[in-house]
Amino acid sequence: MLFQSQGFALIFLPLAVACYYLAARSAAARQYVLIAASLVFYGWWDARFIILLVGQISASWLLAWIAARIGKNWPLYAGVVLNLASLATFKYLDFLLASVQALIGVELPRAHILLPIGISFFSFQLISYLVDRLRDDAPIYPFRPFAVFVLLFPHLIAGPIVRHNELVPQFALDPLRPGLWQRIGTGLVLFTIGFAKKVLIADKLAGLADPLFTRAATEWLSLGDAWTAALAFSFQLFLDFSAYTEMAIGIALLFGLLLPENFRRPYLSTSLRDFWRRWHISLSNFIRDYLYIPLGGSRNGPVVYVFATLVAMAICGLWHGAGWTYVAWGVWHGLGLITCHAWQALRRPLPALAGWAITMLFVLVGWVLFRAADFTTATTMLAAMAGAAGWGGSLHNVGLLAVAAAVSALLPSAYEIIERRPILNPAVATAFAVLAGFCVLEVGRGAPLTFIYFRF
Amino acid sequence: MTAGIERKEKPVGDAAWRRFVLTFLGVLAGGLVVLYALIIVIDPYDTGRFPTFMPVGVSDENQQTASASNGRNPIFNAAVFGNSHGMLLSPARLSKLTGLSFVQMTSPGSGPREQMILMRWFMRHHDQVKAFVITADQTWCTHDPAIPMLYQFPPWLYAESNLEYLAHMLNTRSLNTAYRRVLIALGYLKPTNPDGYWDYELGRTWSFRPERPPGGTLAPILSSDINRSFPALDALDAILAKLSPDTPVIVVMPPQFYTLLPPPGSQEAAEFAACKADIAARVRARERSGFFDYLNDMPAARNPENFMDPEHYRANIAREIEADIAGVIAGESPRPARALAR
Repeated sequence: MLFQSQGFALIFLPLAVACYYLAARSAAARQYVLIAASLVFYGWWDARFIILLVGQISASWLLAWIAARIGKNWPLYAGVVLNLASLATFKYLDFLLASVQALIGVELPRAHILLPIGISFFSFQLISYLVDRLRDDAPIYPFRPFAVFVLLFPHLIAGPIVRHNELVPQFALDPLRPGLWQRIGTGLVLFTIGFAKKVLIADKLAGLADPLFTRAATEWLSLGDAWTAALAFSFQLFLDFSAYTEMAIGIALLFGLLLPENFRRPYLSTSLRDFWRRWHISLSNFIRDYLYIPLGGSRNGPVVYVFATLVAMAICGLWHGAGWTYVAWGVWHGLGLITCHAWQALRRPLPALAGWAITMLFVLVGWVLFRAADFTTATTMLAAMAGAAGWGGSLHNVGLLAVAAAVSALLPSAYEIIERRPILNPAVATAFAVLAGFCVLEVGRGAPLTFIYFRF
Repeated sequence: MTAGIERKEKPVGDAAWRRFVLTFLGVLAGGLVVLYALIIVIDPYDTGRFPTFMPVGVSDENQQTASASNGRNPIFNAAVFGNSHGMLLSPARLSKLTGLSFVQMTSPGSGPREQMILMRWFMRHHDQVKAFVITADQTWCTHDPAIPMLYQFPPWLYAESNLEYLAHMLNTRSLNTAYRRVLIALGYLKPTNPDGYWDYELGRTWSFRPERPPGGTLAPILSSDINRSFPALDALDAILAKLSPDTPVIVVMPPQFYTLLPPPGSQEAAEFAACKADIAARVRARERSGFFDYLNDMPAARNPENFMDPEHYRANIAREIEADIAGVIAGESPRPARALAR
């Protein structure tokens, strides 16, 4: 089920919220409502994978519980391996086989396993819990709240990646506590903003970028076409993913829960390090805490720092998709972060505008690598952007690109909206309601486009 | 995070927030209910499912949706079905030649499944069907028992269930179409021709430059390899069985430029021939019915002047096909596969 579908917005969500508040007085009943709603939500896509999802959650919890009972760590390591094995099987098996085949030159069979939606997200959450248990930094939760922490449908498919200690304690809070109407109102505003960004801008940008990237696989694009494709995809990716996050945070607020921040207007970043503090924040934090720092971080000399950064970013790339272009994208950013770190050590800061321009160009090149189906397409596209196929052509649909740029730069992020006091008058409420209504009517036209991050 | 949420939660003006939420929900729910009710009452596609005060007719250039109105119009008693390969058959000329009243129900890009949906729609709204013309092509010879849809098509518009129809009506497209219906009712917009005809040659200059057919060696055919299962034809039988036995059914396979035909001697060609023989046998079982197979390598299929593009013939061919159809309806015994003029 997609957030931006009529079935979700008009039937599922109102029903789930109504049941939740009917059960508001009992923490157990509320959690059962959330579990039931989340299983229906996930099963709507493919009910078979509910077994996998519930299996991973149950096994991880059980192993953590056994480890606590016997006072040994091996069940926790087994849990980490189990989650990694599930991820490797469902997401990376064919990629591994193809890579080995390329190395040894012998044709290997493929598994052709359907990718369970959201597997990267829920596997990472389970791993983070088990690792925190190893670090003695997490309690053993009762099974029900633990299951809700992973299953909770607003973040289940595409994050934000939530840590247990960010969410589980909130389940004890009474949803009817003071501030109820503020939470619901803010939730509705965030949901509407995300809905509009996805349906009215991001999906339109997909119509601009997709055909051009398809063409780039077989032919040279003009300079204008190549830049249109790169810009359109860059804005599409941000608006699509941040829209999902805003809808997720908004929906969670309707249940009285606060999900972590994921974006902070990343296209205003003036350095690459700044960019990673603003882009997919929950993933950046995860990579930092569970990969980069354990690998040595920045406090063990330059060699360790370079190694930790490159490995962490390569794995970050691989997390996004089973393909070498994703790994290359990660390494590209790793190299950028190392360069940025070295430059900042010189204490000769660039003027903000120059820093912003260099950062955006660097990020844009990275997105081409990220979006292209293979290295040939990426190279063709980047060469065309550099004028290798001539200087002809012009940007397409400049109006849409300008709107996308303005929304990306000027629209406050979800947390900025939560933290600011909005104008609470009926005209603003009416304007948001009209916008939400228009989006509902617009998505009724046909099958909606899924969020880009659903495939990761 | 409890501390986090509590820090973020500085409840301000709960009454103001309450008013904000209630206004939002009231406007959203009220607005959608009113718009939805209006859409249903205006009946944008003129389906006649619910009582309406609107006049008959739509302003719709899209055959996939316009057929909902055209296909239930009581002034017609005969219909042409198919995809763009049947579009150039003129219902007006067929009506003149036969004395019946034809409507064009072809749907561009469609396959058998979509076309059978339209057949059922026409039959549901006409007690007396006087003739059925089906322009078939390779898509009818599918072996896929699911008979998948081939192109964007709104099956919900023609569904027997009103619930399925209602589930697809709350959207900006319905709203825009409803607005056009209101303009028709007020006299500001002319309805489109209800006979559903659209001449794809109109406004286009002939410029067909065919490519050379692909060459290649062919694998020998073993007769046991030929798949003779044609589920779309079985499904069609079930529809035709509901027609009166004396209703003429004419199946036409219109010509395509010869390069699109399966290479002679190939597996594909053998299966296509088996499919055609199956169609002919099924049609032969009905009275006053006929099957015209123009989809073969005849001289006319090698003349680029007969085509707008490899798939779509021109008006001179359409006129000949219309004459053949009229002949069968008039009771002439059908000629199996006439060679069209040049």
